[in-house]
Amino acid sequence: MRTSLIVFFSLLLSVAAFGGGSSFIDLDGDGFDDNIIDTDNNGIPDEFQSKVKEVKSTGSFSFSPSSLVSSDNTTSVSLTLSESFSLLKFKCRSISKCRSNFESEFTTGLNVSSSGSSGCAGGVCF
Amino acid sequence: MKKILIILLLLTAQSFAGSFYNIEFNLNSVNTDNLFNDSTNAKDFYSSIRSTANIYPIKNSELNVFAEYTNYGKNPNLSNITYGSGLTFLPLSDSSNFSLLLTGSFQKYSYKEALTTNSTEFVKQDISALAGFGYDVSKSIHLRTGVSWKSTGYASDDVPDKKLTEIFSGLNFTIFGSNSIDIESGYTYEKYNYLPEFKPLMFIVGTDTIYTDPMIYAINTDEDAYGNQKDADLNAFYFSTRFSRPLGKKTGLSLIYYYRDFNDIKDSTLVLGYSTGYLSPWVSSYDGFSIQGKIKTYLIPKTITTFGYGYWDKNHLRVVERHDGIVSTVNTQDRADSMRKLFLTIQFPIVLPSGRFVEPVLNVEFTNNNSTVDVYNYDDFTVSTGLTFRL
Repeated sequence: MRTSLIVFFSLLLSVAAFGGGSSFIDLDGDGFDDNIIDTDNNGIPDEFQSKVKEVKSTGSFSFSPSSLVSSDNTTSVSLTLSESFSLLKFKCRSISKCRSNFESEFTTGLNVSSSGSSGCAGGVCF
Repeated sequence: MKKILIILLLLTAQSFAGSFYNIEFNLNSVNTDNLFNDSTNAKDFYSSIRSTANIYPIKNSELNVFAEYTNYGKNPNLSNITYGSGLTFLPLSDSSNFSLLLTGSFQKYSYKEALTTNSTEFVKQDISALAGFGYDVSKSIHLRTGVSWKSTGYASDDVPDKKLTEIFSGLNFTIFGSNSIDIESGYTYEKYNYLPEFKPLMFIVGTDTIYTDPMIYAINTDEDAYGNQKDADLNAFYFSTRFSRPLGKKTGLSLIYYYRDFNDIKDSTLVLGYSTGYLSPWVSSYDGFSIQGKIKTYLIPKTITTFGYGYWDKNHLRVVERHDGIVSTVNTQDRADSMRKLFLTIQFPIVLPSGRFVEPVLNVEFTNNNSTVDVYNYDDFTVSTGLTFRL
């Protein structure tokens, strides 16, 4: 069983390595390409909005750097300190936490205490 | 004069907002019909306000501080103030194939009961650190590894302090267009400073001394009852794999499988359950597997909609439960739970012309849990709303 799994994933990896070099990458696991452009950083990609307004950059927390990076992967505009940090943080998105918690990716959009199944009861968490 | 100074300070702060610092406010309210997730079905309404400041002294560092107050309607003793800070350092350039993240944080939880009566029942503090390292093998293959450490200390002697160390490694790659596969495995080592003492209640009837909880008393005097949990260590291996891909243009699918296995548990291992200690610190200690599916979609204009279903098959540590009544009996049971959870979240992100960000959020969640121990048979329906405001 273990050998079969290793062979299976090795084959998949070989396809990924030599299969044409897809640029699609989904490290956050939402099913969308992480490099999709979101100019105003509101979480909705530009192509799904009727009109994206030119807004003052705020270096927001959920930062999509695509609009600030040229094709050769170098920054193309002058960035503030918070924007520069957000760009680096975006690159580190897959190493900022591990998945040892069964419920780490079954989260909601709210920043509130979770249920008892994760070791919490209301605000009392163990 | 003082007002002018304050106004000048605010204007100065505003002019720098977004450059070397930013501030976020969160307002949340939760209406649940089962606060403790057990068969008591305790309803409650609680709300919280949180403010976070992120400061960027240099481009690869972030210092954050936060404070949060949560108020409980029907269980005011659970109302609490939480505050903390953290530092993140990202030393490598964004043009490098390597990525390195170093972060540490501190959080303290103070409860209303503790603030007003000097009780320390739930007061605790967390100190945590994480080092993560990543490498981009190619555009579509990414490797990662890391180690994290967390120390949780309780002011109360009734709850054991613990230290958790985790090491993990993962691989993410894309095949056949836009099919993303992410594999991660790791090892966790949890060290408890001590195990809680089982203190039997007793009363005297005539010339007899009767222990209300004979089994607990027995546990207290029988070293074998703890098995190898006497040294209060828990070791576990976990494995997780995730498949994700777009479904059409505006929808994304994510399927996740988890497996976790304790590798040092004996049949004789026993811990206190809910009914012996109000809240069991062992509720998050389990092994088993979970399957989860999640859909994220932009089909509704100007909104982000996420919904999902998850199933968890959990084998908890064998628990000691006390039956109701003053003269209670105690039994020890194998606790195995199967939990199902459905959730729906709708976010309405709004970017104002000034660049400020406002986001109302609505979340609905239903949980069904079946357990071999009656007290853990429950349903829960929770409705939550939130509002985020970023300067």
